[in-house]
Amino acid sequence: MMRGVKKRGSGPGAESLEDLSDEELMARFQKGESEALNHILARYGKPLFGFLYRQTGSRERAEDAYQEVFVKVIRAAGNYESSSRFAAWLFTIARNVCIDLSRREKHRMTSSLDAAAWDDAETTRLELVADQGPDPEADLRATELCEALERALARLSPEQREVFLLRERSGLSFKEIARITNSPLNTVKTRMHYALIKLRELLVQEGVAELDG
Amino acid sequence: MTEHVKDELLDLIEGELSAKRRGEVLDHLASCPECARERERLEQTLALFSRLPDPEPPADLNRGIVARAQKVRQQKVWWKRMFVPPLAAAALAVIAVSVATLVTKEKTHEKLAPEPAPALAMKEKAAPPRLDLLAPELLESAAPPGLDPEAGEGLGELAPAPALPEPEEDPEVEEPPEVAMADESPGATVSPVEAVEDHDLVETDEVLAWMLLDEPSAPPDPDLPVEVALADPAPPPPPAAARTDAAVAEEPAAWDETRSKSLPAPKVELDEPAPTRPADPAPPATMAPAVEDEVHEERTRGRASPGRVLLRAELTRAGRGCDAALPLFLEALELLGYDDEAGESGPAQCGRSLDRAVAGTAECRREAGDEESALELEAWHRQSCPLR
Repeated sequence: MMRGVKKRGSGPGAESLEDLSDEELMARFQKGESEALNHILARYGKPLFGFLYRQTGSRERAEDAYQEVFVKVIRAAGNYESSSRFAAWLFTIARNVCIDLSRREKHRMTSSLDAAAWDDAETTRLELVADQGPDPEADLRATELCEALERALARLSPEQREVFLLRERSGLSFKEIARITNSPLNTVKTRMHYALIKLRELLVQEGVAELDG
Repeated sequence: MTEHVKDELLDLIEGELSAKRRGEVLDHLASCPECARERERLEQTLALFSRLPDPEPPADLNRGIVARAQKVRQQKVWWKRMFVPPLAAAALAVIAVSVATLVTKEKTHEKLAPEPAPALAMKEKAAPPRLDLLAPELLESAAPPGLDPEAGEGLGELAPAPALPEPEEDPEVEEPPEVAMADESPGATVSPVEAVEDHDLVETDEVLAWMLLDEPSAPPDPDLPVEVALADPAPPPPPAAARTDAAVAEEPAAWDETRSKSLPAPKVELDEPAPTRPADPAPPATMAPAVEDEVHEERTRGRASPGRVLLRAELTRAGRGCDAALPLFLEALELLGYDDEAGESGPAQCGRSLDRAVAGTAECRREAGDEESALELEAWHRQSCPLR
């Protein structure tokens, strides 16, 4: 989750790129410091890829979208204004790329995905939990839990999933999400609320032990 | 009251309530087991998902992105150092020639042929840049419209339109032209004007050069040439009689490859009547209804026709190389009915376009070092493709 990542103490003497805020990193990148992009990728690579992966329902499409997003970031870097929050800007691009991708490929987003459609992502999920510890049983439980969570996410409506991912995985505020999705703030909050209720129902159906019905 | 507090539980959990309201809601929760239970459920669900890791993007993707950024940066510097000053000089030369030509014509019209001359002069002024002169290599790779219905659709429109800058002159080489963007938010480029305005490389001197030299010379946005080509209803090449240049008057056909090779490209801007374009880089305002409709339809459908995509692929390859063109070739293949995954062909649309799409894709793969995949594609095309 990206919350808390935004500002990293850019006080006097903070010369290391690691210490800069996202916006300051972008400013450096605008000035030609390519290394700043490395730091941006380190901060946002995973959450962005996760967003794209869950929105497109496929690792391959997520990789295409991921490249496209950063190509646009590079191209539009000169247009970025540091007064706007980088995360919101980045995920706006990501969302547009997803929309564009879905139109180009006539691919209905993961709303149509059922559990079987996620089989191609099996390896990914196993990879995700493979390094979680030496206890095979715990690994298995973690794997099963991750699979259940991914399945539940895939069964949300596209609008609910989008809001949920932008809020919980990307750390955007509801106001930012409302701007990005061009939706009223209350609509965004309602989607989030219903997304949580639906996720819980789905997880209870899946028998996830951590939920007590 | 209970329902109302339930609506605010999310704000409470996410810390988006005012201090005062937060206190009120917490007071309510202390006395309402139902709301307190609901809050617990929401928090449980959120906590579960916070344990879900995000997948890691492939490391080579990140390396490629950084390398691309560095390349763009280097090219930007190169562009500014090497290309813009000559452009500005050429622009001034074009202006000078243009003014001189117009003044001469005006005098000639007054003395000799007052009626037809203005029309001719206007045509000459509006004469589009000639693709065969500016980028002959594009003509070599693109078939005449008459031979290829699919490509013809795109070529017919693009032939009189601005050409891409030379490969080295393009400051951005990677991004394939966008087919359509649905949104006007960042990341969505719709019109050439927006493309220019959004572009980080568009700086004052470059915009000036572009305005002075008309579209072909400069918008340095990689998307722009194609966008302009789609949007700008540049008229077809004027009839030979309307041209002042004797060599041009003898031009047998727009797609005469031999002729395009025989004429020196650098002279074109001085030989041609200078564009008298006002300082308004807004091609959409001049978009012809038919083209506008077509572009709108394309955007509505969310993808381009195979011929158009194929042409974009070829233009991209010519301007920015195979790496940038590969996705477009693949898209063209897909549109033409060739499924890269399954090795099957869908409804045949045009064998010749498919030939070119396969050839382009194979070349790109080969350039990317994937000889095996290129051979496989070519072998399939030779042996199994039902369209052949």
